[in-house]
Amino acid sequence: MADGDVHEAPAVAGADGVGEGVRGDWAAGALRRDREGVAARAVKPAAWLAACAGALALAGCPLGPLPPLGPFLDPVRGVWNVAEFAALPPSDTAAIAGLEAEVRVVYDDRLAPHVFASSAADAHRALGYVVARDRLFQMEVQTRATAGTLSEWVGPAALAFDGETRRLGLGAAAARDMEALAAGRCSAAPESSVVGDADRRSVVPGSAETSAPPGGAARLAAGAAHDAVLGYAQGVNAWIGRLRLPAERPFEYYLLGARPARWEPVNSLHVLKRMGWVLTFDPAEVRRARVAGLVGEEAADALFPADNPVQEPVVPHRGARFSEDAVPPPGPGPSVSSEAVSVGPPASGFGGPRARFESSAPVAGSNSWAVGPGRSESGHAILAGDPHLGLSLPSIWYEAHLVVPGELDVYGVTLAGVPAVVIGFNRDVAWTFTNTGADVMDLYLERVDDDASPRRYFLDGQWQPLEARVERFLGPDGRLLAVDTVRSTHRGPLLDFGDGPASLRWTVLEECGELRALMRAQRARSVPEWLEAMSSWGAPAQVGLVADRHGGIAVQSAAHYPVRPPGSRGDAYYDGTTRQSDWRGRATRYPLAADPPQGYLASANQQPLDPETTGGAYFGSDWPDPWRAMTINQLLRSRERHGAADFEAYQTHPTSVRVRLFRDALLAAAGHVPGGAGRRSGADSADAAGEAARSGGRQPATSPRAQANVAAAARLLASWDGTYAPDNERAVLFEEALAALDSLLWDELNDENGARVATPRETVALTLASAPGSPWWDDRATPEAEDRDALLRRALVAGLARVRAKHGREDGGGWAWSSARRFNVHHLLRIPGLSRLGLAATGGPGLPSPLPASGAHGASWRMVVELGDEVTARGTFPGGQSGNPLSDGYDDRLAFWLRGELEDLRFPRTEAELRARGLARAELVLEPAPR
Amino acid sequence: MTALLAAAFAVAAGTKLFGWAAAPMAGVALGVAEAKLRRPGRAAGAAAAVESADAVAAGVVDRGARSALVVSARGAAAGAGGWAVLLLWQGLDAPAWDVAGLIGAVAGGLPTGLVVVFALALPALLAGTAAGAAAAVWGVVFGAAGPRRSGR
Repeated sequence: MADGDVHEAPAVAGADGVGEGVRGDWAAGALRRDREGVAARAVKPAAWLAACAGALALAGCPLGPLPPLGPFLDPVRGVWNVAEFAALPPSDTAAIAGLEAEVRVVYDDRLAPHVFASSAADAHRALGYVVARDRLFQMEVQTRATAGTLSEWVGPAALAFDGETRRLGLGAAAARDMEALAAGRCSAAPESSVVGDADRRSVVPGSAETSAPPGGAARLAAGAAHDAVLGYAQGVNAWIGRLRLPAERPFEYYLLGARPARWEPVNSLHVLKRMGWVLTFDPAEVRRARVAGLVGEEAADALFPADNPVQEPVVPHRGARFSEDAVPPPGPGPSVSSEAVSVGPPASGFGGPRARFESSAPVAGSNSWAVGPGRSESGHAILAGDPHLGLSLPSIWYEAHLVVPGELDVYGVTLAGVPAVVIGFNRDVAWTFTNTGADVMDLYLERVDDDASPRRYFLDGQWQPLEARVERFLGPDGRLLAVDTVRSTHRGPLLDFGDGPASLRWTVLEECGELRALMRAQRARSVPEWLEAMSSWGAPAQVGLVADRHGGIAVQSAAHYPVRPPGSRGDAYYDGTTRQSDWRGRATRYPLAADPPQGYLASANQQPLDPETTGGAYFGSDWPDPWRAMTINQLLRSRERHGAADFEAYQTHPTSVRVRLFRDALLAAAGHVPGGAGRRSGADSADAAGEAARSGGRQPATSPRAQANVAAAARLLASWDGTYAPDNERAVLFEEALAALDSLLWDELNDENGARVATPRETVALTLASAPGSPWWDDRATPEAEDRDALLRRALVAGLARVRAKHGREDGGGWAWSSARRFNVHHLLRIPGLSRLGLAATGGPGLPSPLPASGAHGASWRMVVELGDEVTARGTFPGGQSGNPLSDGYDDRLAFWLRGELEDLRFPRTEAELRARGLARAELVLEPAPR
Repeated sequence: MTALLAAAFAVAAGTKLFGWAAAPMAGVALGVAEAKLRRPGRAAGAAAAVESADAVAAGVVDRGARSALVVSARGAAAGAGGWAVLLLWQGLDAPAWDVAGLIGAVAGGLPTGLVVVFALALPALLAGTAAGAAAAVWGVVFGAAGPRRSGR
């Protein structure tokens, strides 16, 4: 600003000798110009100030999904610190409040911690510490998702999710459980039993029949579970306290601009409740009401039957059995008004977890099997387990080994946040779980005094007050975002799935003995002890498979089941206005088998009991297709004896019973004769398939072109070896054909907008095959009345057209199965950069290693345990021990998992043993904190 | 250069002690010091440096804004330099480059180098803006923003 004009003007004027009057005018003008100059000069600094303030605001405030960049990139306290905890220090020491004695933790070469403690309480404290060290963010996000407090992290965006969660009442149930644990009320099993209990004593070998001395399971103190969650919280909080906040928090906290909250003991129960939701929340009533609205009650019952028409039950009965007297589903009934099947917003004001219902696709599943000594190469029992859950990074499971001399020596996987090994083994027993799939929740249509803001509900001729609980939702800054009133009847929370107000009764909201069951189970020393230990397990309903070192194997559905009004099915809404609809209690129920003559047991989410053995008792409906179970049984029957390596291979076996059943049906409908007539050139068939694609697969089946399409598709399908390896080039055609069949066959189940309301299981479609003229086979979009074979041919041609449209010609190299389906392991925040997406591996529908279209579900843990004189085990999961994306242990096991390989699990008796074998990678000494 | 290095270390020390906002705060201090030093007879060397920078800026911005711009550039350099000093320091026991790669992955595949440049640009932007604002405010309040003018 040198030589400014404003300052030069007076000197010029004075030199000219201008008169006073002029001078006065000049002075006024100069003053005016001075003022203007000052104003002009003030504009620029003001602009600079504004820029400064803007820059500071940008750096200090979150911008959309971005965290505040100033603190995020702060070189001292910012995100750079994430790297500090990426690697384990070779030697470390920490203090935990409440610790009774020193605890030594040795991390092995796979980063699994081996905790050597002098008491179980200290082991739980140490477990809390080491899990928090690796998985703190995962622990908190799971807790918040269950408690409905995600809005405290992300604000209004999470309000809908939090609202649904709190209406379900999982957090409130966890709080009740915590009180019950403190009072020692979670240790008892219901006194009554429903099915199978009479047989129980006859099939469970008593301890007198084994050489196992009584184990520690029976000695567990009544308050042990309560002590465990308290101690675990002490360990977690010791780790949180060690973080030099806010600098050393996990990466995700930086992204969210959040800080770790203190870990409350009830959080452990939140994690268990969340698993209950994942595994058993299935409002079948809603689906059935929608279907019945479209095709009538009778058809709805037949399409979603209480008993699967194909049986290969968990409890061995008659082997694989296709129902011989299954009545084909009736034809479509009279459709009711579209309003009844609408999937629009709920009519009343208090809403319900609609989104979860719509997203609760039956993708969860699991496998487990075991052979006794008579069917194993080594003469020892061998057990395999692979629970299928949503795949995530960090993984849902965390490996740990807890050693308390004389009391506990257990290795396995724990859920981050739970002070117990959930699936694993000790020196005598190995166990795993599969989801039972039983119906453990019911909905009751209620009559309330006001749909928008109900205060009373009608019961047995009288109005009863609804219980109300006010839920307050806070934002990241502690500001109140919303308030919701959650109402409940004597049965449970009042929800609305679109059919009017309905109260929910669900065992997950009522049971609390799971942690105690796990703690007893991990101390069991024989199959009978383990089965007894699980008696307090209430929910979620699980099929537990167990084997012991004495050669025993057994399977048992662990849960407390509803005792419903006689003759009723739980997959239809009950009348809420009468107590006659209420549960008569809860009961243990034992679909149970132990040491069966066949020498092996297998469970893969199939209907546990053959309906021939249950006397028509309702246990659930719409059971998962038994393809995995049948495939595993077939594998186990295929050889007299099996080794642990065989089990490892079975977990990723590349084909399924399902392939043969449906491919045969498709080829038979196509009239395919291997090498037979009707073959056309590739170019001809490509043209024909292209035309089929343009017509939506609805060409007249009798046209020459259509016949050429059928022949081409059949020839390609017949050339498939039936496997789903990533490079297989025919599996994609089979799956597209079945997808087309699904679309064509169940068109009656589309609503007026063309959206599928619900899809029956594949076993129901298979049942229909015995009724080629059933009206279900007719495609309502065409004038012709199709029969079974016509529709199968159409599906085959449409499948070929779809594949060619997506992947090009069959000889173009684009048909690899991996180009159609891949595994996707998402980070918990679904950030692509932290996820591992598009992973090619063997897997597919109906295979022991399932691969759904999303690629986001699969075997979350694979384990094979051989119970010899020394227990040997191998396992892996799709991720790693660490939740830190910079750690080597973030995804180091993924490569094994993708190859279908397991890793040796280290199971030392002492830390010295681990060191002697050169497997100790780091050590941590935990000491009592000064009081 | 010496002055800039000293300023960068000052920013680094301030950031270490007071957190990320120390960078713009130090920028303000630099701006004030700059404006003061540009009074004739008090810092001839500084004035000469400004003159040469002025020559570069001439024709790009009007002369009234040049002073603040130059001061801003100096504040920016000091802020980025201070941040870089700290990052390097941190990098000795924590692989800051890995973290930059991680941020790049989260941001959708940004290369590590770009993340580092971005990480340095932020304090540069903050400090530079603040320094320019400080110089401009000083000029308005004390009439000292321009060295020639302030000499009259």
